[in-house]
Amino acid sequence: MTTFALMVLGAPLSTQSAHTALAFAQAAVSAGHRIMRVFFYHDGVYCANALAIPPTGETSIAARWSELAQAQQIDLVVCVASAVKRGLLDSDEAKRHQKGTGNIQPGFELSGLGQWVEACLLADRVVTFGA
Amino acid sequence: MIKKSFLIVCRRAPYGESYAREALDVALACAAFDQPVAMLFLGDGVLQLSAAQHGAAIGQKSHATQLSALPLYDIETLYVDAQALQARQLDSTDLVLPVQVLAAAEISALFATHDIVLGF
Amino acid sequence: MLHIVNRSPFSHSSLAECLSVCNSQASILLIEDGVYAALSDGEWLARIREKTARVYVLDADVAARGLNAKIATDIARVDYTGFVQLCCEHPGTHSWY
Repeated sequence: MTTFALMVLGAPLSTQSAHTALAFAQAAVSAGHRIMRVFFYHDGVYCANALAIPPTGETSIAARWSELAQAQQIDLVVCVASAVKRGLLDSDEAKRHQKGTGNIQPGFELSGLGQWVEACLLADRVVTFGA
Repeated sequence: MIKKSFLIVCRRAPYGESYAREALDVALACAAFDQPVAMLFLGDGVLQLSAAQHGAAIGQKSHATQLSALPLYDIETLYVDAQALQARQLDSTDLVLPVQVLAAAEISALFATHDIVLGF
Repeated sequence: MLHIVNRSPFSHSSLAECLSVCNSQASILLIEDGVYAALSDGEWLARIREKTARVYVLDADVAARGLNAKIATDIARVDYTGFVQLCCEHPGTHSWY
């Protein structure tokens, strides 16, 4: 059993990054491995956008990640600095900046790069899904 | 505490994309966790170190100035691809920080000798 | 090390830069638009083979792009489970994008 830490750098739709990473994560858990954390960085933070409406016939990537994370106890961490710069705010950040109620999909958590460093230290394997 | 050696590989030029800044933020985060960090500049990444840049001309902070803070965080091992420098008409005297200029075989060895290799 | 390349070599320098640092012990996995490097009799496949014999393509990305008959037949095709397995078998991975 191998423990993985995954980094996702691409925005959904603009790149395949998040979709490849999701398929990888699904395959890994089906094979009995563990995904301890997925860290969304650069434009990957857009994967956590609860307001994104997918094209007709497609499911929201945010919802699909959230569902997998809940079923498999995976931490979905969104880099707070990258997110806030791109207008992705949780309720605390939205309140702090007086920008409504926030738009982060439930199941994702905003946090710092320290969470990624920690994941690299604890996981057996680190895989980046580039944009 | 667990320690792993990190190699941050920078392949993108500054300003045109945000990867240069994001690579630096990851390097600093690793250093803040007291992990040994080295940085490798390949391809257009070597342009990040150019001393001649002036980000203010496009309303941005100068990336070279931000990189020059690396030694304050004990990140002093910087590698640069010799061929990339030459192709972009730079040499080590044009750069803001002291670097080790490496040939391809030496760069290849770096990938094997670091525990975690992250690319931006 | 497992080198993962997701960009077409016809439009990005990712594969070229990967090859410049690969040695004969390296494995290369082509995914997403990177699968175009595996076109049979192509210049890029020849350049990959000069470096390493360990080349893989992700089958879903080959199929999505209609390349099933165009990828060299001796390139190993893996599914996502195979992708995971390659990561387990190699001491580390590096993504070139």
